[in-house]
Amino acid sequence: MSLLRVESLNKRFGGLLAVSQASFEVNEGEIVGLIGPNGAGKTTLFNLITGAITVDSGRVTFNGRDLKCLSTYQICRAGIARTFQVPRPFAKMTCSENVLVALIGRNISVPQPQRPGTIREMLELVGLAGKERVLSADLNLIDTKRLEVARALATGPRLILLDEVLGGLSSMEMSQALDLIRAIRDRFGVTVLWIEHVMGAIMSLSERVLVLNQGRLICEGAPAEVTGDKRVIEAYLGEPDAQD
Amino acid sequence: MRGWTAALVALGVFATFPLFLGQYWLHTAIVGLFYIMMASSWNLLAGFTGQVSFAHAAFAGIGAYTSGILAAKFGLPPLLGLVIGVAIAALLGLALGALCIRMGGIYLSLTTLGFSEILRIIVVNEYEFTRGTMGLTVPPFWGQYSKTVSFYILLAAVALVLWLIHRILGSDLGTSFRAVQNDEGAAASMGIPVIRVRVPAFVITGAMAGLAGSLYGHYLLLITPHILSLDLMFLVLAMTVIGGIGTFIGPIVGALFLEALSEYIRRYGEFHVLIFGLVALVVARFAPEGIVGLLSRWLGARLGRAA
Repeated sequence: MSLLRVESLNKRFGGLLAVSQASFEVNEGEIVGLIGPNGAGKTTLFNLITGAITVDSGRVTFNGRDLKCLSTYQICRAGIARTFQVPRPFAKMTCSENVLVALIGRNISVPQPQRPGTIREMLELVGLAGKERVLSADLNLIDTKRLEVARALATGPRLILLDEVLGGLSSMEMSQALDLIRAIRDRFGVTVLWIEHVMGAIMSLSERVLVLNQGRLICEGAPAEVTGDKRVIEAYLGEPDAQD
Repeated sequence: MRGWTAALVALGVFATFPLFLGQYWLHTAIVGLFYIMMASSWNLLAGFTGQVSFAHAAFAGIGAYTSGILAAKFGLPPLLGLVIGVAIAALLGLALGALCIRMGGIYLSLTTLGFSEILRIIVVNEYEFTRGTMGLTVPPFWGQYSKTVSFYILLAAVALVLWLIHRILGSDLGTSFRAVQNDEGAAASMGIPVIRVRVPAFVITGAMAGLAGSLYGHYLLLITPHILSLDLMFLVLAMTVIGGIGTFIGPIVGALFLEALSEYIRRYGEFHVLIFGLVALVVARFAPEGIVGLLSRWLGARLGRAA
């Protein structure tokens, strides 16, 4: 069953068509990759889905519900969580407090007595155990990305949008991160839509991949199909005869 | 628990002031109590939700003039006037907060500054009710005029306001305040309804300023447009910043310290607000957490070395 349905979505920034006629679906329980060259409109698409920016035309439905009239916090409460490509932790708050905000904001706030346990669970899950009382301003980039994931997951979502969480990781950290994404789906039953530039990772973990180029969805399919597609290769490398 | 003990001890010490302070220093202490309420409530708005409003003195003025006019012109008991004054301050807080929903930083500051000045001009010119710059003579809050009674009334109000602020900071609303101050967009994406966090902050702190202003007016027996002037606003700002904005203790320390200091340097004329402004600038640049931040760092270093 389709959990997220995007229909002919458009967004224009001045003269730039950032997202153009994008239509796709994400099914419950899937891990779907979203790839495309820089500036393809991937993050804009996330911003449109979560209501961070307004849609020009087109429709986003989540779980059968039109998101048009909902504001960002309502979309979160409806069950869509996200991380930010450039992490946006609450700098002057500790890691625990960062997660606490999600527990307060989520659809049904977690009752007071259960909060410490949930916070510890979330931080342990992403590998931030022992850093509960560290100010998030004092974390390194990788740890802030971990915190982003912990916060997003703590909102109790049905769908999580991950925006380049793997960038800058060592190969060891990468495999941990991939385990984490798998656990998000398998243990928490959360559907995953993720943007990533690390091709090996996205191809190994995603069941389906969407390719965006210049705001248009140019290809969709299983990882093996997508990597062999002529349009995708052109989007990344340019047309074969353009060199002449 | 240690915090509560410290708070009770501090309250107890304060409660003995009228026993040994002379009339002059008792007056200074009362004014200090007024400024504690003003600085602490402004800190809740500016230091914890990031909405740097310049209308805080204006809310004190609304409280003072409402209960003052109701008592002086209509013969209402001051307690009833105070309740109405606080309610009107809260209502105007709602209006101003709603007006500023989409604004941040300098735009919000300028809008609130405009609100404050409009109100001051109205008060100065609306001679019939406010008696303009002549000032409005009002009756004391409780029975016969007495500095000692006024002191205890303001002390009780300070205790109430600080207790409320402490409760709010420890609650979900307080956590939401800080999240919104840090990053509105990120807070919204985690399910925090930003508008329902920012506007209540204006309502709550506006009501607190209204309470402070109303009690202060009934203590002074004369309400002048000075209470809603930018002079007073910047003094409150300087107290908060110098004491330590974004901390619970900071504004309390700043208010008492600057009020006592301004009594000592009063003979140099009205330059003290200017000097405080300059000191606040330096503090904001070099010690963003103010006196409280400096002290706790210094104490931490000393204790660290001792251990």
